Amino acid sequence: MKMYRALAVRSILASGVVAAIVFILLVLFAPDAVPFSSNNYGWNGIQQISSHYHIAPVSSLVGLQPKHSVLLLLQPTLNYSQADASVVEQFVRGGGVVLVASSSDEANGLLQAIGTGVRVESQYAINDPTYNWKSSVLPTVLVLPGAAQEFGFLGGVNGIALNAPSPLLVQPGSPTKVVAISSPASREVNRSTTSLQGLLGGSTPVTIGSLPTVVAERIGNGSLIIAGDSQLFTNSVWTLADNQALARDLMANSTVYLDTSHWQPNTGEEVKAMLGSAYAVFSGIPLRYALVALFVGASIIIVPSFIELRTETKTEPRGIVSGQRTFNKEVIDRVRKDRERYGVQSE
Amino acid sequence: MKRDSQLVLESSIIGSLLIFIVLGGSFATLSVPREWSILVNPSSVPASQETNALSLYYNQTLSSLGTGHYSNVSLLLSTFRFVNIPSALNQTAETGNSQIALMNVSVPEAASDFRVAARLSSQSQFLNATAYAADGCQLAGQANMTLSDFKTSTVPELVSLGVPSQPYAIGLALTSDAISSLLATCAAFQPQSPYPAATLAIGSLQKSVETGGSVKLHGNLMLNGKGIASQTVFFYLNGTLIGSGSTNSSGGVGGTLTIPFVYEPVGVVQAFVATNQTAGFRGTSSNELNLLILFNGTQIVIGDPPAYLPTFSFSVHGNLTTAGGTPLPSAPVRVTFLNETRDTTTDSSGAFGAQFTVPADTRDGAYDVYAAFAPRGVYGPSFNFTSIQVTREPMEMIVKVSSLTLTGFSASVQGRLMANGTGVAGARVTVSSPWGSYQATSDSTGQYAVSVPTSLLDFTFSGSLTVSADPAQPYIASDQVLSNLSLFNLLIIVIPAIIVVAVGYGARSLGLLRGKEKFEQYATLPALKEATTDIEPLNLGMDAPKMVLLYLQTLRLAAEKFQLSFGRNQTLREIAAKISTVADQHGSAVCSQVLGTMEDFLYAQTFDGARVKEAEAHVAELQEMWKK
Repeated sequence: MKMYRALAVRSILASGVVAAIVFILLVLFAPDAVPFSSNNYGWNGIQQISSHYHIAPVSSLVGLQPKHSVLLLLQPTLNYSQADASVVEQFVRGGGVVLVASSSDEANGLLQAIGTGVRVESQYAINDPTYNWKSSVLPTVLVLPGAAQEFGFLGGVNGIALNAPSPLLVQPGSPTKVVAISSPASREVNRSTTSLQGLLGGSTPVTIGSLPTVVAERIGNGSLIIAGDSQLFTNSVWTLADNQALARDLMANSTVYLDTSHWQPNTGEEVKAMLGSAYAVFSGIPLRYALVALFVGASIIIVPSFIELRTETKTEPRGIVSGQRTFNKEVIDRVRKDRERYGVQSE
Repeated sequence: MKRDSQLVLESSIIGSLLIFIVLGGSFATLSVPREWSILVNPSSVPASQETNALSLYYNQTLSSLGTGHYSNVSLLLSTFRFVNIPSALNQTAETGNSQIALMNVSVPEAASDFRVAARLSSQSQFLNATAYAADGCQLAGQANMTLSDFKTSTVPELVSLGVPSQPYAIGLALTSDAISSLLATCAAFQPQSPYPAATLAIGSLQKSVETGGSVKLHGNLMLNGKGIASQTVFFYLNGTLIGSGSTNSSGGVGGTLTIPFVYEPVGVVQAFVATNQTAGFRGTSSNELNLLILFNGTQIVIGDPPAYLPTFSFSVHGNLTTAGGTPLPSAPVRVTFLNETRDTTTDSSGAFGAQFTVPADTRDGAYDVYAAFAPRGVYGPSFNFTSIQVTREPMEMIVKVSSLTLTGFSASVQGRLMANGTGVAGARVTVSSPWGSYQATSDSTGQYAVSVPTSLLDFTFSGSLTVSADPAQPYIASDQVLSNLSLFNLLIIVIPAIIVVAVGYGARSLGLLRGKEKFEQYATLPALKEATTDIEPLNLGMDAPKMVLLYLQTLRLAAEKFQLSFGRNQTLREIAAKISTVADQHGSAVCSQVLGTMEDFLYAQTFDGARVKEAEAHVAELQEMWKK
């Protein structure tokens, strides 16, 4: 019985190790369907751009190095706290570039806390029958002449393909500068129905004319970019218009962070970010040595002790302990029948 | 049974984990928050290329043009590739865009010319005002012509391609109004006077004139075919008054006039006479006389500056004169060094100068400094050059790399930077590795140390490092050194070891290694050989249990005595029964004793070792009994 327990413990440990390896491999490489996931090959994933530029998901905004870094805040689903806003602002002031790309309300708290004077009008979507890449609900917005002179990341970018973006409301006196607008023929439609037909023009336009869709501001040594759409770098959009040029200007030769801490919990990217954080923690000395020691210890525990078993089989006069050996089942059955039929001699 | 439980347990753990992962992913996908659910899948959006899009586009561009938002027009034209229209419209649309682009140039320029003309006219600069007004009229005419082409050619073609014209009717009307306004302005500039206009014509035998040189001019002022005497005629060159003369009795006027030092390729001479009510004629301007301005006789001399270090500034000086040595005053001179250009002008003595700074990133070598007489901003007929020598102090890099690095850990790169025998402080040292670039700054003695983290997932045995140093002092040359890093990944050992252990453990759990255990081999001994008449082939070895040897000896005796053979699946009981059919009662009983002892040895919960002695005695008895 004792032997069996030892086997069970070893079995559980071995299973745990295999399961952990499988789990990590699945998280890192298995395709998924979560929006903005680097393993999502679908329309709303960022697998393609992730294969061009290294995008590191982060589960916390604290401790990011701003120099030559870009922080992507894509379609947050959770509100930003004051502390989050301070960290983001410090990141920008330290020389980093922050891209807030969202068509929903959750980014507004952050924008207000930083003092941008910009608000994402999430109740509306922009519909442009003229400048679009497939249909009026998928507009291409125009980068204003001269914007690239102030914001280098707009070099070579004349148009940005978007997907049902929300217009931005720039309050008077805001320090931000509008860098991209929709065309004069674009329409602002109500998004309340969230139906495709509504966006495609079924609902009455609220306004007609150019609307700000991307604004930017220099803060300290860095830049803050605000876009009314989060999908400009997703698989279905990022190769259109001049989005690739924008991605190149932003991400080439930069460390790119993707915030996962303001998405709903348990997304693949969040788990990946936590694995990355864990790796960063365990990479430090002396945890690294401790981990190796732990690993070796675990290996010693789960390695079956063949030597012990051999020693036990060599004690010839000893009784054969139940459960210690496995025999030919057919022979055992025959013996059992014989002993039942003819009786037992020496027991 | 226990082994089955173990396998079930293992499979359950792994399976459960995978199910949880899949379920977790499904939950994450299914329970999409509102912020993500509003995202539109482009695949679900039907593609539509509306001909109306081009109409709207034209309305935007023409409206912007008509309302004076010329930069908007430029933006819209430059982003036309983003307008979603059927490809069949592209060619005609491009034609329309070209026409709009032309109007977007001529309309604002015409408006600008008219504004300048109005201002000059108010300042009584009639000659220049007239020129600007004429230019504006010409541009307005061009714009009108282009608009006419658009209306009569492009619009009908677009209509035939299914592009409705109504949506851009407003934009077209606005543009038409703007151009009509320009044409009206042009008409307003036409001279209006109750007196008839005099005719003033000028000419010269010269086609060219050297800058600062003389030109001989002649002219004639006529009214209704008769010369007008005693009128002052003013001569201008490029808008600058160069002289005047009074007409003689036949209206003739002329003389040799000296032109100023102009530095444009062409000098335009024009004469002007003011309105004279007494004489009864309206003032007029003459025809334009174009003279080629010559710079043939110029020469430029430039001094030679010495050698300089990067970031150091230096001056270049020179002189610009005619071939005869006459200085050219206020002449434009362009001095160029590397990518920097200084446009300067000569002083009254023809001297010029310019100052440059050697860029910090300039490499060692000789660099030319060009000076060119540059009339009208282009390189003129005279140029010269000198050169400066840029020299940096060489830097010596000492690099030491750790001899062996375990991947996953950091490699140490350290060394010293020296220049001219002393340490180079504040230099930025960059180590480029396959795992990224890492930087450090040298201390006051030139020492530096960089820690290069290596990737745990790197399984190569060497890595290439490029160590480069950029001194803070621009006059010290940068340098770089290539170095190799020896690597070893412990995972190369650990992972195979884990795999071997896991495979061995699994195989053993599944019973695949059972055949190597001698004791179990003995349990199936009857199946090892069809006839166990010969013990040797079994090759049991010296460590075979005594009881097994006795058992086999018994089988051999029975086989030899009674010519028996034993089947693969026969049990000990069946063997005993088989022997009892041919042996006598005592022999059969003794044989059964040995086989029974063997059975207990193999299968009983406990086995008394003393019974081996008894079996040994039984075998001895059988040998005696069944010996041949």
